[in-house]
Amino acid sequence: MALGRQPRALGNAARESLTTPDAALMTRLAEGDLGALGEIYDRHRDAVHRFVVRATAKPDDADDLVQNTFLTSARIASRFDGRESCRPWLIGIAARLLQEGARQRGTVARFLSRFGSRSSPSPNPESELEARSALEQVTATIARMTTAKRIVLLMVEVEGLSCSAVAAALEIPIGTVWTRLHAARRELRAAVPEWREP
Amino acid sequence: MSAGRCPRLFEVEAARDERLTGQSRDALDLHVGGCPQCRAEARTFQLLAASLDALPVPATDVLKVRRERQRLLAAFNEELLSPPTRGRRAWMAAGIVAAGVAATTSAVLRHRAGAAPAPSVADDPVSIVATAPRAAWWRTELGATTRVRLDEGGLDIHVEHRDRAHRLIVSVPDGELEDVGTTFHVEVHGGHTTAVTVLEGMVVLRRAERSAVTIAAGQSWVPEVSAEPGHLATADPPSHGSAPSPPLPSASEQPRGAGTSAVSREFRDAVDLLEAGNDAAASNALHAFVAHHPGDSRAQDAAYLLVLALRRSGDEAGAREAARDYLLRYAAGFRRPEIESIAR
Repeated sequence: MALGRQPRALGNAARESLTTPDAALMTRLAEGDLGALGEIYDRHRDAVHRFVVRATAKPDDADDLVQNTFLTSARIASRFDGRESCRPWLIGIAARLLQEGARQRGTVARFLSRFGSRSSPSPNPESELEARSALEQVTATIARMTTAKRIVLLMVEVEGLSCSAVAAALEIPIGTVWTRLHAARRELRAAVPEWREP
Repeated sequence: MSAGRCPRLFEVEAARDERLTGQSRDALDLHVGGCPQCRAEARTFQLLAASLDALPVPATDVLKVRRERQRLLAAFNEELLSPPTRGRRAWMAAGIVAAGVAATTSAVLRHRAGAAPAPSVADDPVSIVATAPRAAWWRTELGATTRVRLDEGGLDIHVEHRDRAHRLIVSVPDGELEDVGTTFHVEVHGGHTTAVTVLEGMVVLRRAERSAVTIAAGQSWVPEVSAEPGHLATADPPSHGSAPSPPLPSASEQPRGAGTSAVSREFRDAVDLLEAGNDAAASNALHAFVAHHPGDSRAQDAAYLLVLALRRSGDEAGAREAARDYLLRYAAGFRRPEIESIAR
């Protein structure tokens, strides 16, 4: 049994080798090259959008937050540290914007309220019911969770970022990431009977 | 028999969060293999992550993403030219102001130096974004006609056709482009139009002493280098009146792959192989083109054709991989819907 998380692919090796490195694009962007911003957007828009949508859950807000994320990244491109992918950095910007906004609690609840109608691929009605029940508990718990914990949880468990990457992106100590992550998981586990700690 | 709570249970989460490394991690891996509680704990964390990953995300609207991209670039472009940052970009603004002095017109003249405020992005049916910092271009409003003059560099242009009477004409040093559609890109270097790529709709390229070319969505045009005249007529600068435009001509030039540069030949050869039914060789050639010229205006076409070539040659797995690569590289690619069905 693998104990670690499977990081979400940042793009296959072939693709990475075919394209200009993110760091080079960020350097061009810092010099005001709009084409570089377009390419950064093309590469990472989906990941940023997915993250923001799950954290804010209101498509209109999500579009604005995605815009703000990339616009902010363009303004501070000279501060990019040159790592291989700027995705964690962009997710970090989005996360900080989310925290500053402090407006998503209500929209998350509205979004998650629609979740019950989502279809499950399970052919087994019983397991489907169990899965839906667990997911409903998860969504309800996430809606109640503090923004700080929810963001860290999504960054690690959904976006596949390492704890150190999250710490760097949010500019918080890695110990704080671990603490928030543990607390967030604990809330989720408490909500789903099958996941409760032995 | 109840064995009680395993004392190493907490280490499972620690390992997941990279708090255990080296020998400690190896030892835990061995332990988990024989400990049902720790295995169940690891499984729980996986289920938890899978549940979070299952949270739905609204389907992506390709056109909306493209519009959002334009909005982003336009917003940043405005910021680059706004007073707080103008000092940083003074060289760019100064050059454009100097060049713009010659273009006197009674119409409202807006150019990159910001002599007059541009309409808000939301109100403006024409969105123009320079794709390089040194692009030199001017925009003039003449009644229902927007005229853009591009002397150097590249522009991404998107037109919302809310008003059917509205026209957009781009003057380039060697002719003009008339938008009959919505989204296209044009490049000018050294006094010549070097590339036109149409994403949506259609544009007509009229160059001096050359037949007009109609370029449709999905097509890229590059000049025929060998036949390029040494001196091309320069289009008239924006005038006071609305210049009459000739009726749409029929296409008399192949818009794609017409260039004879080494890169153009490489692309054309690959397409020729595909058209000749030599699918395996075509896929190799197209793969090489995408690998060697990712920034070329035909790279997206090549990536798309690569998927087709691989499918035709029976390499379904390769086609799927190439389709996924296309989707990663061209999030707003105009072949996205078709490619998505292949990538699944």
